[in-house]
Amino acid sequence: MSLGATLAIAIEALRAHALRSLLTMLGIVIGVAAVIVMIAVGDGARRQLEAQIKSLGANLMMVFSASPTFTGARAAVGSTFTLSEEDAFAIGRELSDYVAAAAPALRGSGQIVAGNANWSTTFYGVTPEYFEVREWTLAAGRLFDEAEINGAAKVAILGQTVARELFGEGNPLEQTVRIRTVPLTVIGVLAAKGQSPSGTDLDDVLLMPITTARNRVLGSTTLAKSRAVGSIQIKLLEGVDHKEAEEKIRELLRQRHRLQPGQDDDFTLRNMTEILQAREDSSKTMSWLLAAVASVSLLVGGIGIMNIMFVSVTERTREIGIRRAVGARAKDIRRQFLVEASLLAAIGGLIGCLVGAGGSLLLGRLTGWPIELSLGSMLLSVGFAATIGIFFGFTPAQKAARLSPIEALRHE
Amino acid sequence: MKPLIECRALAKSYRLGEKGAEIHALRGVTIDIYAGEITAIMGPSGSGKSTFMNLIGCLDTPTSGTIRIEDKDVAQLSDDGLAALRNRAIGFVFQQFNLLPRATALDNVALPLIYRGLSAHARRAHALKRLAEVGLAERAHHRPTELSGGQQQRVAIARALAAEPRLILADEPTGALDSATSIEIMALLQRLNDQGITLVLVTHEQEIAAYADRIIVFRDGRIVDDRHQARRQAAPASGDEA
Repeated sequence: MSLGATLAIAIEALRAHALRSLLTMLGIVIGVAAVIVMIAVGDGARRQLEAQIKSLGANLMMVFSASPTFTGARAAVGSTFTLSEEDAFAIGRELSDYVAAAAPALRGSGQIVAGNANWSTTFYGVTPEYFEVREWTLAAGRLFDEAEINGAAKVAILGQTVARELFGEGNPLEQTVRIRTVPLTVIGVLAAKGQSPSGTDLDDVLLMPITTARNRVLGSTTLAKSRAVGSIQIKLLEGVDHKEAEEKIRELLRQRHRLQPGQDDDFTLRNMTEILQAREDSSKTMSWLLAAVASVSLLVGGIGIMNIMFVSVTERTREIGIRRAVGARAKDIRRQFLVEASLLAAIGGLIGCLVGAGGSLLLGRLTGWPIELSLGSMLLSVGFAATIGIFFGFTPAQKAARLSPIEALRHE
Repeated sequence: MKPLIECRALAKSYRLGEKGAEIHALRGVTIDIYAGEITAIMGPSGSGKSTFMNLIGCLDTPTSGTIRIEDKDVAQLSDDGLAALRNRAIGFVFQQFNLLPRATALDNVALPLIYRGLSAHARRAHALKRLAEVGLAERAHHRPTELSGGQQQRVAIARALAAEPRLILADEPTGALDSATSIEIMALLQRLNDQGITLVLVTHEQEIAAYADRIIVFRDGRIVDDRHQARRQAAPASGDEA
């Protein structure tokens, strides 16, 4: 008996009870849809995280001035700066087994004016190490040179967003921007980075030499004396143990800041990469949870199919008898019911795919989550659903195949 | 000449339910049926005639005794072997027609051919030919519910013919039909017999048995009479053609 003929019989049998078939599929539909949504959301989240890790720079660690309890009050510029440029140099120099580069940075914000345009942004005073640590390259122009850093030169490098807001399509190079009355000449434009993990626009930034920020723009004498910095960004060497590196950095800073044992840190260490990875782990946990829900649903769907197949076998006992009388072998009957069960499940899987894909896109639109649909996962789901059909259809099919022809024929 | 069907000491007993009384449906039946004849099996209800039919139709297996069909011992055949025998050597006609209600006449006739692995195209062509033989070519795409009882039985006969069997077993083929239609069906069966198909039919109507060459009478699981007769010729189904 050919598969084509078996399929035709199965389709006819399912069509004869269209509503019942549809209801039977429901469990599979929901299960597969859940799987599709789960994979779409999971893949999207993973893709986004990867992009974010990339945008931050791999193996990034950050040290902020002030202890963790002070972080909320960090806005009180100057008074709470406990880190200095020397701390950054010391980390780079003394922990070279762990650290690829350590970049001190001073952060500030304000209105930037260029001609008629103005834009409110965040600016950083940085050293050349900053570009290495953040893995940030230039789209145009050049980096600060040694003399500009030492001499607090009035130069700036613009992020993509700032450049666009101030100059539109025009070329910002060699143009002058003013920040808090200080005129700066634009010498470079950063490559685009996109969004940060917290959703802020990383390209909405202006960079200047750290000396310029300290002496000319922020202009605080206390800052100037201590060579204080707001944060130190550290790029760890590839393959070093992050926990160990973190401890070394903490140890070094505590020693430099002459903190007694038992005294709280006067700085905050954050392992950005690990924070992101932790978030990825939690999204994985979420995925597993959804997978559990999906598999329960598929299981229930499979049992539903088994149930309906038993009903179908009982209802069609006489048909089985007729088929047996005209020469169907037991295995022909078994195969017919198996094909029917797996067809039921596969169609359910297909509908589930459509519902899942639609649901994913809708979810993405409503929540703004990144969604990533993959054809492979859909094919896999349909295949898996069909397998469930075969698995749960086996017992009813076996029952049908084992009916004695004469008893099946006599069945009323 | 070897008999087409050879039964030796055939017995069949079964229980009604798990602990029910044992029923002896057949108590030792020995008989030969030769090719080319119309044999009528008669007897009151419960005499064992249907059980006998199911056994020689390979739908059921005997408790003891042997059946040889075309000189093959049926007991030696596997379940698949029995299915193949039913598919190729035996055509069944039932009192209640036993057509698939959702399938068209054509699909019903083609049913045995599915299990022979024929292509859809070959099945259709073949089935259409059989339907034409029973005079129902124009009704090929009707469902059983759209056909009269006599037409349904003719579809069933066409299905039995689809396998091109040497033997047709008919269990009360006219039991659900009025007498005029019954005679049409008998005429059709006699015509098939004239073409060389051996026919065994179960009936409890003396009038139907008159169309047979041989009458075997069952009572309480045994053969009590076995005689040959000159068969009555059924009038050709002229009213049908008109």
